[in-house]
Amino acid sequence: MARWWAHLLGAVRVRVRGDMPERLLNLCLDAGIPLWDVVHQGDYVFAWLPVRDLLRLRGLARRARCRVRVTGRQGLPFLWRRVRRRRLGIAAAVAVLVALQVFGSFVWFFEVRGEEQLSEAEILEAAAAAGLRPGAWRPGLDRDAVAREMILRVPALAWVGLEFVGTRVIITVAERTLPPEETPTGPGDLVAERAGIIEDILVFRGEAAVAPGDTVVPGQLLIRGEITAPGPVDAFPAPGEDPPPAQRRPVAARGRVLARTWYEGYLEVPLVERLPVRTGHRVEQRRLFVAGREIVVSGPRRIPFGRYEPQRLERPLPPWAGEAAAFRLVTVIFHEIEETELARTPAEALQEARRRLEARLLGGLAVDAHIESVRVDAAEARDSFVSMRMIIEVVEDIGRFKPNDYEESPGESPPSALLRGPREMP
Amino acid sequence: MPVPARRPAWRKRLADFLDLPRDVVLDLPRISVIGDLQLQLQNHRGLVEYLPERVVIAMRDGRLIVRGEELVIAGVNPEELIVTGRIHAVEFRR
Repeated sequence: MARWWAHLLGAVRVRVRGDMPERLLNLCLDAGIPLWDVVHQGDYVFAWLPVRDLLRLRGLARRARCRVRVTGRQGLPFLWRRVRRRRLGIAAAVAVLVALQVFGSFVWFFEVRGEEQLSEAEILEAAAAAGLRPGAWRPGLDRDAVAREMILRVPALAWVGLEFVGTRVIITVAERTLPPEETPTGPGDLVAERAGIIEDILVFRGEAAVAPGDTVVPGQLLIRGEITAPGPVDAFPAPGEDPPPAQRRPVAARGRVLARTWYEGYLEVPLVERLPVRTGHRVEQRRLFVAGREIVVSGPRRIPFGRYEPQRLERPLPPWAGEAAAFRLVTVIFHEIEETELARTPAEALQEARRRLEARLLGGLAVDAHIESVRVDAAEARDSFVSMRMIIEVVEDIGRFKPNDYEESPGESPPSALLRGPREMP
Repeated sequence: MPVPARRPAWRKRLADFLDLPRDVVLDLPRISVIGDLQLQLQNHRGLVEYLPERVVIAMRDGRLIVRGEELVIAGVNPEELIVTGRIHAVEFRR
């Protein structure tokens, strides 16, 4: 008897009460109704039977003068009835699944990676113009077409990659290095940033006011922001006739003025230096910042170190509150400090001095500056320290733009620089 | 199920001769008892009495009385009848 099968197809447990329950059992036997787990308990007999035979059992019970009551149900038909009763719940579940599927196929979130010059807003704007905006239907998007269109729209983009992660799209961009945009400035001169000796002068626009070999002082005019333009000509001047006077026109001077400049520095390095060094021991304090006061929440109240270096870390509470949150969680890490004596030989000290001086003097140089020579002038080794003077000779562009308004007027004489004759290029 | 009135002697002899199981040939009940836990009876004629301590089953030539405690009729259909519980005694009655 495959009882589990009967249970699956639907079975009921009945409670039989009567003088002769055996009679009912025999009637069931004759009718071919299978029974199982027939238990006699007190005045009742309980039995399981297939649900499809329940009606027939009731008829037989009347004949056997027994009263039958159903006390248990099991199986898929009953389950199905329960499920059908909860049709609304099932509909809701299906609706949720459908909604998930539908909303999951739209793009809602954006992430931009790799932008350097461009802002995220600019990239998102370009994406929106190419069809990739919040709420865009993902299957309707052609990834390559969107990327292509974005590159066409924004000249600074060299490459665009789109990666869809669920409802999120990650836009990875690579930017093109664009030629530096010429900032529109008014007319002006190029003047000397530092004192130096002119090595070479290359005029892009304007007229040179100095020549190689000249010594210039800071602020001295290097390239004049004014050009001489030929005067308006109606007809080619006849022989013997003077050409129309040249006109002076203000421009923004541009050019490269390479000059030899000097940087000088002096430094003393003690032979024995005391340096604060972290020992590695540290204690951590957590404090709660409330109403201008900090209350130590956890960690030691007294710092067990003689010398220490505090390191503060502030976090607003709750985390999304701004910097000026009323409550802040402050973590202070106290690092124990120990003074270490660093002893150097005179040679080492000189080396250190040279290193520090070079760092100090060369730190502010432009990348295209050329270091001509490094001269260490006075390196003295004394008892307790060494001293060093360093002079670095550099060839660099010393031009600095300085706005200057020239009056547009017919010029009488060409500027002096033009009279100097051809320059010699070094 | 047709019930023969008497047991013809030739059937018994045939069963002996062919070495056939007698319950098949002679329409006798077949009883298997598993420990004192379960009694399985094939070829029964219905239930006469059912109490937790006594189950009386009708057979062709009499009754089978199963005595025990907490007896349960684990299954009953026209072919077989299974009694489980703690069986103390199985008795044939003419």
